[in-house]
Amino acid sequence: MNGLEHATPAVIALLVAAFLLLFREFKRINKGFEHNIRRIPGVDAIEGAVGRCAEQGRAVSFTTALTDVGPVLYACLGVLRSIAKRVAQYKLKLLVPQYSPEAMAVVEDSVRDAYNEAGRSSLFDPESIMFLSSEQFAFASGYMGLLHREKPGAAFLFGSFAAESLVLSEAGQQVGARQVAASASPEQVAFFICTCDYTLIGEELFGASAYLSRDPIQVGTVAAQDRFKLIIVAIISVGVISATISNWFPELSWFKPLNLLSLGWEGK
Amino acid sequence: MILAVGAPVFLGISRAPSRMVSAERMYDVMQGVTFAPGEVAMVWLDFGPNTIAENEPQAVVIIEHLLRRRVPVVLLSQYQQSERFLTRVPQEVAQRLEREHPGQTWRYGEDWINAGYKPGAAIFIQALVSAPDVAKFLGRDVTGMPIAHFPRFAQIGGVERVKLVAEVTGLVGVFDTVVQFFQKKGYRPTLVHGCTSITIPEAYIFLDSGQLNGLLEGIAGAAWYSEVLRKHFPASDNRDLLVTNTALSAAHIMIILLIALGNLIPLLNRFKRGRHG
Amino acid sequence: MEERNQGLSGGGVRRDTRALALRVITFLGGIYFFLYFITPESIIEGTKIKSAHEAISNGFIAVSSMAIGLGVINILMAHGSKFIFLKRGWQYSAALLLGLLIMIGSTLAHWMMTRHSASQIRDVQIIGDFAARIVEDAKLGAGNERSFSPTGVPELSKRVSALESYSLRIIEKIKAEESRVIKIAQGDLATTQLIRDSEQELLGLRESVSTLSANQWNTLDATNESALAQVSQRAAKVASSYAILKRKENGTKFSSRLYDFLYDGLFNHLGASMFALLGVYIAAAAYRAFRIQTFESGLMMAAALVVMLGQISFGKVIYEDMPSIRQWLLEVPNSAAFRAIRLGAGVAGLMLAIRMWLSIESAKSGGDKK
Repeated sequence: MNGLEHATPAVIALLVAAFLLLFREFKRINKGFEHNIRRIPGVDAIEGAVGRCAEQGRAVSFTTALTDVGPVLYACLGVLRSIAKRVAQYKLKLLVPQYSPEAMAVVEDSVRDAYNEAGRSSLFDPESIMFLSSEQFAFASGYMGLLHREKPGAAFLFGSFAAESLVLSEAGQQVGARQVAASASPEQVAFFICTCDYTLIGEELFGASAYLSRDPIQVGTVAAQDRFKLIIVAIISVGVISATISNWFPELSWFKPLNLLSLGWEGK
Repeated sequence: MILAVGAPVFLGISRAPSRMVSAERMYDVMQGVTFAPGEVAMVWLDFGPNTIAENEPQAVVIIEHLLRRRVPVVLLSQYQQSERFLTRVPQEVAQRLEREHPGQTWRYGEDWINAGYKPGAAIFIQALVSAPDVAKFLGRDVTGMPIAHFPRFAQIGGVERVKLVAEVTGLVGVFDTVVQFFQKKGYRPTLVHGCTSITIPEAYIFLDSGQLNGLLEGIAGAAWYSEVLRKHFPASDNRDLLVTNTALSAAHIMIILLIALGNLIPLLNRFKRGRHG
Repeated sequence: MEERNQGLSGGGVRRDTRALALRVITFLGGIYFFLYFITPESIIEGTKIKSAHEAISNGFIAVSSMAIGLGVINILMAHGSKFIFLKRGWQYSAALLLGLLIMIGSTLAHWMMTRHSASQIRDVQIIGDFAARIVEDAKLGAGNERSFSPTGVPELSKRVSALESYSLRIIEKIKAEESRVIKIAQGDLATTQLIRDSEQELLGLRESVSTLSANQWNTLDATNESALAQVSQRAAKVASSYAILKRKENGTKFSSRLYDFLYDGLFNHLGASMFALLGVYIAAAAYRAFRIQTFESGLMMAAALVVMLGQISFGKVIYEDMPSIRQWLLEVPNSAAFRAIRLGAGVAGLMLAIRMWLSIESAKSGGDKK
């Protein structure tokens, strides 16, 4: 396939489909349509974990680890806002260690908004959002130290993780925190599965925010995602069938419908 | 664990590495790329001290292979912390090659240049790919010398003359950026990748789809690659790398034993409890 | 409605304006690359955008580089205030700031030293460049388009005279540095040999430059061209050896040694040590957490065992084809699973990115509903 410096007509069609699906779902939801988001055990556990902290009088920790400003951070912020509201309602201590200085400003705003929504703006402590380090393992050691000092009852690890994931989750294990992890990086999932109580895999991170808040915009986004994935599955199926046909019937090897995807405006 | 890893290192024990098919294929790929005068290879060293154990040996074997072939190499990075490796690794490789071949020289400015750290990630790569003159776009090397001054690198022209791109990294998202953006209509370089063990499963999807042409899987990949190099260049010295790989193998065995113990002991305890009522 | 109509001192109007401004800036920030991506090549070729693309990209790179400064400013503000007002933990802030200042200072000193050396090396390289340029311009003829002067380049003899005097000045400067350069050898045979070779090359260059005045420079004949070519070649060799010696000399200076100590000695080793902690955690997790409790976990453990054994030489002792099974596991089931996860996450990322670009925010009111 040729380089994708500029979109081919097929890619533009897919992008248009993405836009249309998104707006269609927003419109449907505004008209009162209710989507059913399947149960995600890890997300269900969030409320229980925060409740447990309220009973034990322990802090709640939420980290976005190595997440920079981007779609993944915004997905995490939805969950953080929901957790921060509950923490505010229960008057618990919230710890939000940060890696990225740019993301920190956005995170602080989100937590402040959550406290305001819960009607506890006076309880918001800006120092709860603390910048540890922009260096991966310096952040990890800062996080470990923080957890060992504060001994939170629940630790939420949402975002992009790299090699320090095991270090972070082990620290939570050592202090006896209930841990829920959601990683945008699939290679860290195995470590989280072994060390955390609940793990969200892949796009469940993006769905978690919608599941918790039931916000129309977020639910609509998840619905649009699923419908777009159907289109992708259809394209994959066409590709598999045509490749299988070409393999079984070499005389039909000219039949390559997926070449249309890479066909440029000039027809080549 | 310390004994398992330390014993091979301190006693200098080295065993033959396991055969890594992807490393073998990568050797053939790198050997098969032809470079006309003015064409270069671009090597991205996007790792820091965290992944030095896995990525530095990979960088060494890739640069060694290119320098042996006398391919002009442009070194650069998207990661600030790799600055020292950009300077040190090719110098050490060149010194080793000069010891191996007395009378021959490998010089900075002739065999390789260091374009240094380039901020901007995806935007930088997109701009590099669409620049009409790569040497002019890169501007100066890390010492402040205009790249256009180095004869073997001044004639690069457009990015189509970068025939091979090697990305050595353990960072998340960096390799994806190169795969996605280091291409244009009618041009896709031969792309090889040195990854850490954690990112091997993810790299395989690109290898399978043909977007990636060669893969070094952690230290084991680098060790097998060095053995393949030694097969073709018998004087090549890879003992240190084999020792490191042996230490890694010992660590693997330790982990397997710990997993086995961790599962067997509770099982035995349960069995004993069952027997005693 | 009443809130919106409050004056500028009211919160409503200002907040709306700010939100609108943010949305517009966010949209404009993303629109350029989106349009560039979806517009066919043939349309872009016909506009000035293609030539401006590089400059626009450099602008975005410059903006993203500012983020590095943002981090430093943030650290100075957060920890500086802690240190100045002696808040809780001010000692750690002081240590951080001290480390930051030392690292910035040593990096700046190192950078300035290398830039200074680069300009000195450039001074030597100019000799060869100038000699080659004289030949090119003479071949093109007077008044060629590359000349800066409206009347054309200066006459040949003047240029050769300028080359000669400049070269001799640079040669004297290099000779004056000889005694300092000899010290860097410190008994190293290779460096001593390099110094001897560079002295020979310098002598050769001086000889070539001196012969220039012996020729007639009315026109560029074969003899003259050959003389200039020789100057160019010898100057390139001198520049190359000078660059190597300069780098070796820089390596002995305090700023370089300090930088090496801080970066290689401390930072690299501390970072690698922290990463090595993972080994301990993996060992602990291997014993404590990697338990086979269900069929799926058993399957996962079996796959992990095969992959680990296939990667080490011991694996072949157990079973000859272990590496091949490992290869198959990574190429087939692993690729399928990872592709699925990546596709899902990619689609989700696309939708979120569209929302971010168009600033389609979640409703702030409503709260959590089940």
